[in-house]
Amino acid sequence: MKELNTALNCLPGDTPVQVPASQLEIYETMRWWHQRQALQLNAQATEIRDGLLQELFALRRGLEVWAEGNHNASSHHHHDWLQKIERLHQDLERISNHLSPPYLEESLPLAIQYAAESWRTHYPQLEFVLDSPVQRSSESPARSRIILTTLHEFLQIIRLNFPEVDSLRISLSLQEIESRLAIEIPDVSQSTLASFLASDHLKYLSQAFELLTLGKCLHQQRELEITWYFLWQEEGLRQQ
Amino acid sequence: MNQSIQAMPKILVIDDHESVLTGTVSGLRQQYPQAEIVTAQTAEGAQQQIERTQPDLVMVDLSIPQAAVESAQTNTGIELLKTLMQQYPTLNIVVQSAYAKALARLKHEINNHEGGFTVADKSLPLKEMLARVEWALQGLVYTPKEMRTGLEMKHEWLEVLKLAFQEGLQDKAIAERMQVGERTVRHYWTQLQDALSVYPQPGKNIRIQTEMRAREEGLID
Repeated sequence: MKELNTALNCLPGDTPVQVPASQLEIYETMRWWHQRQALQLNAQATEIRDGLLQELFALRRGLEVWAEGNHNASSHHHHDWLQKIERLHQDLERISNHLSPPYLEESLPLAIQYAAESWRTHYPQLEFVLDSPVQRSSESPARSRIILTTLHEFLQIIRLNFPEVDSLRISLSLQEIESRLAIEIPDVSQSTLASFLASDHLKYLSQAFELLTLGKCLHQQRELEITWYFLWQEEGLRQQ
Repeated sequence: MNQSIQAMPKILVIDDHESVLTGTVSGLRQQYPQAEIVTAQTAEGAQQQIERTQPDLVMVDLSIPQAAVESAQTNTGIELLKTLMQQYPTLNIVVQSAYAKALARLKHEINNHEGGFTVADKSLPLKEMLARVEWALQGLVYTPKEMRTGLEMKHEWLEVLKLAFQEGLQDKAIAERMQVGERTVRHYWTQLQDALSVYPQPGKNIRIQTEMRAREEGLID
């Protein structure tokens, strides 16, 4: 990761990045590994959605229809069972969404938007301002998964290092030549900022992102505000 | 919706799970005891049933196989929906799925579809699922929240809002001014109501709700 002021002008810029052969090989290996993992996780999510959730639906409808035809049956008992089924459905849905985050195949902006809803629930004290395009993106599902995972992990690091932060601005810009995910963190103190920048988690996350996308992580500091940038190019634009 | 459709709708339910078909048909029978309900388990079977029965409403899962020997794929359901919306632009459709997110791929087609179009997640209680069926039969539109964000309002929808709430015109006069059919104006209403998240509620006037929401969003003065 680099400071934005010195690095923004040269990376990735308007022209495709020249990538050394050795780095390209590591990238291809990591990408293969990541895609295999993603395939397995998607298959498990599909098993839940096309199997367990279908059976649960049938069970629920059976119970509802039976209760309508049996007014003498204990409504309290029946209501209890319906609630249990509903909770089970929600749990299974949550697991399947964790395995295969919604909208990755459709649109990265939609996937981030959907994830932000869950973060708002998870971190009610934190205000998320999301600025992202509404159109469908051309990112591959695998690439979208990397971006979303990166953002998710980054938020965890922020929560760990800046417990006092109460608002974040997340901006997504998707361009043919260069795409950019920016996270603006306001009102950070110098002492916490130093430990944040020295964090191993942040170092590993930045390196993993750069390896998996051939992109760059940069940051820019203005007084008490820091903005973190994840930059990447479309997969076809890279040159050896 | 005419009286005979209201009392005896012809409904096609498409799902590859026998147990889901049984549960869905039983639930529909409660609301529409005289309905003609047929089922299909594949996209091919669905096409044949539609040609044969000309249903008033199709209730379709997204993850279905193309033919009996094939495995279920979300893309098959998406392609079937796309074909149905092209071939039958006024067909009423309910998507009943455990994972309806893939519908985002059809946002444009759904916006242009002139029949009712609602989404019923398979987690919904029977009563709510039946409400989505009723809305679709009435020609209304209900799509998942994420698909509505960004409030992309078409020029025609804004024109309808302006003519109705700033000039006080009724649908017939709006149709004449816009040089379209009344049916098209009704279609614009259902689409913009979905974009504004305005749906039928007991005891509330949906047009007034629409006006209030449109003003909140700054779409009309």
